[in-house]
Amino acid sequence: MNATTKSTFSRAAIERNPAWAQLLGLCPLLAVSNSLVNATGLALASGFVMLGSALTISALRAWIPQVVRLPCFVLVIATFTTLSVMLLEAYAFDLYLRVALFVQIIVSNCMILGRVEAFASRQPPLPAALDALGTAAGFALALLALGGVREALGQGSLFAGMEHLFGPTAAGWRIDLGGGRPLLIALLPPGAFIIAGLLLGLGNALRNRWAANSNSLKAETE
Amino acid sequence: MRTLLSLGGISLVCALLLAGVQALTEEAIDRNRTAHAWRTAFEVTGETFDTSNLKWRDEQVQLPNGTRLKRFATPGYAGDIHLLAAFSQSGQLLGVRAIRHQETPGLGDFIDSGKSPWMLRFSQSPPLAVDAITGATITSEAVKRGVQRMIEAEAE
Repeated sequence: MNATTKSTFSRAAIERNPAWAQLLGLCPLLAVSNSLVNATGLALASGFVMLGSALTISALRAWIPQVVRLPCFVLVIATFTTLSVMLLEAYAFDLYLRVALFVQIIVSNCMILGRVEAFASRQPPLPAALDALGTAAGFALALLALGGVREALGQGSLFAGMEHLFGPTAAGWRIDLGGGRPLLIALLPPGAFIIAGLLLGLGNALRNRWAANSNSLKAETE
Repeated sequence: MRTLLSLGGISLVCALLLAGVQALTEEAIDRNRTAHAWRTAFEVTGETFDTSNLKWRDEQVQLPNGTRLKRFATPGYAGDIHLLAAFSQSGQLLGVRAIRHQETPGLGDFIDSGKSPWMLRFSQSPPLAVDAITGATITSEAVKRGVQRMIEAEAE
């Protein structure tokens, strides 16, 4: 992996993390992150839609007229969203029952339209795919962080119900954390906002500290 | 002209993708939906039964013990809400569940019996007397009207 492909990926995933840095796609992020399995399901579906749309639009970019680019983008994103709904309903029905309503609104996830408009529609397929994968990984990271914290606090477990997604072998992945009474609020919408806010603050604090460190390092070497 | 052609071309690409995947997944989706409808039927009647010999005719099916299951689609806030109801031999409504819908997540999805006990109220009071849920009036009314229609059809 050379420097530019790596930076395309990591810039999309970390520096411009769709959820924590750009605050995009928060509706599905907050709604579906009540457990790791739901978070994983939505992350995979969003990733599929993001990658498929970015590749398709990047490949067709020469034929998409500037004036009607938005209808074209929305059409392609809607197509991939519908495909992911069909695939989920056919091959992961239990999960489909739980996340289908949110998978359907991936179509209006501004994170995807944003990346497609700003990046994929102006770049060849390879960088577009890398940027899409980075964005998807960043979104997955945010979803899993929130899903993990909420499941741990609200249910006292991690990886519960993974068999709905990865088949019967995954039933053994469940980790019970034990401990006291679970905090129900972590599973409810207010808990989602509070925990997302705390994680966002933590992310910002880490970033500031890191920036300050690298600045003082620079000052010392000068 | 060029705009028209490229929009048409992109629509065609999308349509082909959708048709292809639909053909691939149709059978599995159908199987899953049927199995899910039966699981809901077990839940609403409170018993499990052998479903291999049962055939739906005109959206209803008679169980060996005389209970009748009915399916009904009522227009909700976002597309049809598919309901499944069980009636006793004497025509009494035993219970009703939503088997498929696309109502707003977090707002209209209280009609899933796993998310809220709202649907259970229909086995206790006449459908039109059930309170609607604030903020989801259309969804509530759609279900109430749907259940009412099924009861009326049952009485005839």
